[in-house]
Amino acid sequence: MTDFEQSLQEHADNFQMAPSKKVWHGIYNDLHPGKRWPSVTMSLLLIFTLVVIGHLNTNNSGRSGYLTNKIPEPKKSALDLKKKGNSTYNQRIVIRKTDLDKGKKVFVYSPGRSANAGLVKGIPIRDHQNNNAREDQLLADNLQPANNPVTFVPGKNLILPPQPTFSNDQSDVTKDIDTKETGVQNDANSDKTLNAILQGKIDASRGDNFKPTKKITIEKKNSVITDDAPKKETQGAAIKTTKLHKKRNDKVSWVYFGAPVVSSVSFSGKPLKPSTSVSLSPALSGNQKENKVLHNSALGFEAGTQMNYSLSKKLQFTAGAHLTYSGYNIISNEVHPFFATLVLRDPSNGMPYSRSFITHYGDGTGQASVTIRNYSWQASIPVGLQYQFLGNDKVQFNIAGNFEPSLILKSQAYILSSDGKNYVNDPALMRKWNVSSNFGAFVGFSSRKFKWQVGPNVRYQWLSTYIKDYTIKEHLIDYGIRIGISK
Amino acid sequence: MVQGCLDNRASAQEALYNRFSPRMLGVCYRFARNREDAEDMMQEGFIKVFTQIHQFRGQGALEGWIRRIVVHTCINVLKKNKKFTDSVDLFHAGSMYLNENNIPSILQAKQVVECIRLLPVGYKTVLNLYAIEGYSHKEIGAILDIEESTSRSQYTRAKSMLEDVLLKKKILQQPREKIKMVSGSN
Repeated sequence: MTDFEQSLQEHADNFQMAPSKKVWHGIYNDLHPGKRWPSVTMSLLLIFTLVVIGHLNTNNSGRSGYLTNKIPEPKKSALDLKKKGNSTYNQRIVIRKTDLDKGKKVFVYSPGRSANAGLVKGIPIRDHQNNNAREDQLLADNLQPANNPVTFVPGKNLILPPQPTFSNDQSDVTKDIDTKETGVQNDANSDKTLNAILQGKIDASRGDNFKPTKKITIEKKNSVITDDAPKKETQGAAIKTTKLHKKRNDKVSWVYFGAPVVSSVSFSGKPLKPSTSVSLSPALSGNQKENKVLHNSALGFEAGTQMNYSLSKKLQFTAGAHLTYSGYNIISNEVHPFFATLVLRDPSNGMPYSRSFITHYGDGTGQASVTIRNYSWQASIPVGLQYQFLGNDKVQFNIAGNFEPSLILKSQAYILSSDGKNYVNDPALMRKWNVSSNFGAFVGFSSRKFKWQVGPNVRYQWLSTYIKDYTIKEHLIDYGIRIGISK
Repeated sequence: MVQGCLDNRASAQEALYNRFSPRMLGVCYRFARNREDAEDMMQEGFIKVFTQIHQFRGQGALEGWIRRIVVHTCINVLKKNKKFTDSVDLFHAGSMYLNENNIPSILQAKQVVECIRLLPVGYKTVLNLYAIEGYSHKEIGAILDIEESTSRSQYTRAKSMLEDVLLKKKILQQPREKIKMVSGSN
């Protein structure tokens, strides 16, 4: 072994590289196929959790057979909050109409509340902690309208008077009862007042604490419990606030979408030819040909979420976040490592300069054809408008457009060398950001649970893929079918 | 560690991998066209190491045994991809021009490896096997399915081409007859 070989061996042996983690993951998964890498397990767990949460939310919001009439909680003033024991809160009570018809007792679990927290038309709502008959009687006396007597048997629960008949026996009634409005006091105050009444110190019929401020009746026709009591200002304000809140929520909707895209590209501009002022390799002289990139379209995709805000009945403002992968294939051919030059222009002074590269890729005219891909991953924040020009509640026809400032997350671009013979790759020539536009039309239709959107979409990249130093301008065009889903 | 690998224990396998993978990736990188290819080669090589570790008798160094498996894996991958056979001929070599400006100026070991990687696949494969891995031309001929004389001629030309690059990069000192690497980084 000569000195050269010995030195070469020493230097080569000293050369080490840190492998990426995916290599070990690949080895591990191959050796232990039953024990997939923990990330897979974590991913599955995450997906499962999301599915369960989504399922539960769907069930809570979409339960049929119950009518909901939620009375909003009045806003508390600072003074109210300071008052001890004057805690006002809503409690949702679900009463089956069949139970109402049959005069069944309804039990409500109300931890921390005093007995008989709520009463719906003579139905005693018994606290599990305190089923005191005397209290039942007192409350029945106070809460029950005079023309609707309640039969009371000491030691037992109230016997209900005949209840209105409902047209739909299978339906249920959900009622929120504000404990304040039913005139029931809570906690210590309630107990003290009750004791005072029992001892004859306070006239039960006069006591403000037990005065019913709300009369609840059940209408026969619509099977909905309504509130006929005079509205308090605070309650009215609360309802108004709720309506406004609901209105605002109605204006905003979220759409999640994905779109397979076919990417194409357009070129403009003229390449800078090597001149005498630019030092070039002799191998590059002569046989100059027009620069022409032999390329094919390639598949990509676009995905993201979009918020729609209704400006009017048919016009919506849109904003969101998109992730786009797009690119195209270049037909090249493998060559032995070759010295290639790219002539560029300094945008500040317009002077040409050159960069040299070693490349393995020819212009695609030789043998050993290979395909190389130019691609980019872009994260963008689109802002635009959407207009419904036709449709009804079931089906809508829309057009949409937006501008997308995009950040280039990752990209690869092979550029034809100035002599047009080879492709070179220089990441420094790539733009770090760009601006694109999306134009599309889509049909929206509603299914049982979701709203769907399907339609063609075109995305055009306004700025060239490359910085100004490279005189050829490349504009990517993506054609796709966008599929969106919203609740 | 070896016993743990024989028992197919993941912790032992990972320890062995962590110990030898940086150097083995350097080996693969000399044969491969890029880092991704090198990592693929090394992954395949280590899978063979772990599945065939029962064949290791403990007579020599474990690193040497692993290295031979990894090198053979690299050759097999090159053969499978036809990258080696397509470029083993020397047709393009005469007109090839290597620009020393493209050799990164980092550490000398890396510079040398990068210079080797600039060579055509056929050249660098023979050079790697003969000059660095220590295979004979006869063995190389058998591994690469070429004549022993072809291996010799390829090596001679590869060496000449590499010397040119190293001289231009001033990693080598003249005269060529008594070539010696300059020590330290550039």
